[in-house]
Amino acid sequence: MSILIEKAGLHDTVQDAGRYGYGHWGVNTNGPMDPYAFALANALLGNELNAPVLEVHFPAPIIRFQQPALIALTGANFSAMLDGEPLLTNRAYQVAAGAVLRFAHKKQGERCYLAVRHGWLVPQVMGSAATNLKSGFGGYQGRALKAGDSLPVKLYLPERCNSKKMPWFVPDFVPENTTELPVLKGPEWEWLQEDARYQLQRSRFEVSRKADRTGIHWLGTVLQLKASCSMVSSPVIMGATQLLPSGQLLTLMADHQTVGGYPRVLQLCKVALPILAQSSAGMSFGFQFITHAEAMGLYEQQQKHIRQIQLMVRSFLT
Amino acid sequence: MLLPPPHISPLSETDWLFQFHTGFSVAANRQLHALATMFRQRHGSLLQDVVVAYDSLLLRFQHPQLHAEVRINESLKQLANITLSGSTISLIEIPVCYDQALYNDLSAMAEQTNLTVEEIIELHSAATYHIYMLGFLPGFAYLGSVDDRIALTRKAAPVPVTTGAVGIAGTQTGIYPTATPGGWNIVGYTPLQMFDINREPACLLQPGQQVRFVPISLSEYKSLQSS
Repeated sequence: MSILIEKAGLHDTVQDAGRYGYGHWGVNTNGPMDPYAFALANALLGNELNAPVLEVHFPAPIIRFQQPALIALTGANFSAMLDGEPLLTNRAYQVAAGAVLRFAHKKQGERCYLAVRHGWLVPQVMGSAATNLKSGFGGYQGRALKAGDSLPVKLYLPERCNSKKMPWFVPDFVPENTTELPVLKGPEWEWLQEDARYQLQRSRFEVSRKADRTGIHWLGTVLQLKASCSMVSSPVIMGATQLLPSGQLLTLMADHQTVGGYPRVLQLCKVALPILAQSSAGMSFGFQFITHAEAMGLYEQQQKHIRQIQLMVRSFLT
Repeated sequence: MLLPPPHISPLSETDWLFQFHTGFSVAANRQLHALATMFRQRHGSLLQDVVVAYDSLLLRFQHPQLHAEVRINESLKQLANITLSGSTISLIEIPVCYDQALYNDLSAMAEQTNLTVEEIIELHSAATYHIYMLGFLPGFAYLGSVDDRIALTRKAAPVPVTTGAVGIAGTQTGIYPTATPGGWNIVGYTPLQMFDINREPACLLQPGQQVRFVPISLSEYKSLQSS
């Protein structure tokens, strides 16, 4: 029982919530770029929130379902079409055997998540289904999907409902046209010159073209450190925003290394990560400094929202 | 020796960083690994991961944590009662083929250091190294310290490096577990698989252990590699 990749997309990988517990071996966490859309895709199907999901970029793949499935698309809107009929994001659909899913064009966002009921059936490696491309393990054979790949799914027995479109949906939790990213001061914040700290609080910074799953480079005012600040490599996490020797910022994303040697001047809050993950080159943001307690509050609110959706969907599904 | 009081910062909603600012101190780094082990054993259910670098420790909690200072201070007190004896630290021998028939940077290094290739090999393989941490790639161990006479800075730009390459960057030496672009000066190759998910443990080297490089011939390298 599986689905067939008829045509590969630009970069399609299987991701779960990430590989944790092996940081002391230098094992990257990997996992989704947009953790909110990832979890939401699972919640919309009543899945465990860390079930494996397919993360696709644009151009996206062409997928043939060789068996019935219950699917949900979240994150970026790539104008999904199922046998020619448009599909909405943040909505669950029943798919018949033989149906073909295509993505017509990029409307909004950078990463789209395709989840199936019960998650994709890929082996767990070191406790996770996330793809580690650099070392070639996890996900689907440790690599991005290619044409002809057959991705296994659990048997899905269609619900006793005639409609393809399931009755539940959620509006986008992340407001559109966000221009402020909530951040915390990073551990090396104090290393910045006073003017650099002022710029980070007042200026806008632009998402550059140099952006991938490892990190997103920013364009903006050149920022400077106080003299004689040198750093010994230290652990880093997703959202850590480093000041590079060029004076520009780099935000580490899902495929980042476990340690880094550049000053971590900012930390993007967890609720800011989905916004950045879906931002395209040329978009600009200001940084909104909030407290640790406020950041936790925003994150818990988002987590609760996802759990509520999961519970609601589970009450529909038998 | 006791670790100094750390500089504590909440890195994110769920992550706490403890920086001890002890730099490349082996004794302090060893205590950090002991502290990490203690955390994994005692607070394993609360934690997603514990990551140690040279002189800092990252605690990754499952859920948002407003205060983690109490936990670290308790553990630091308990750590004071644990003595780390040198005899319990295991020594791993890594066979390395320094033969220039395999592509390496030894000739260039000899020019830069005014040493002979043989002297460089001798200096690199004579020392016992401490594993400060693993990072950069799964299974990539940062070992120190390399003799100052061969402590060459990394290349200006990364070049393709193959699996098993042993390199030097400053006073650090390390082994590339997978092929990747890299900037370290390559002195030789090991036939050992540093990281393999199809075995237990996947990672050959553990942080806190000691390593010595044992020179082997090209034919030994080839036969070990094919075995």
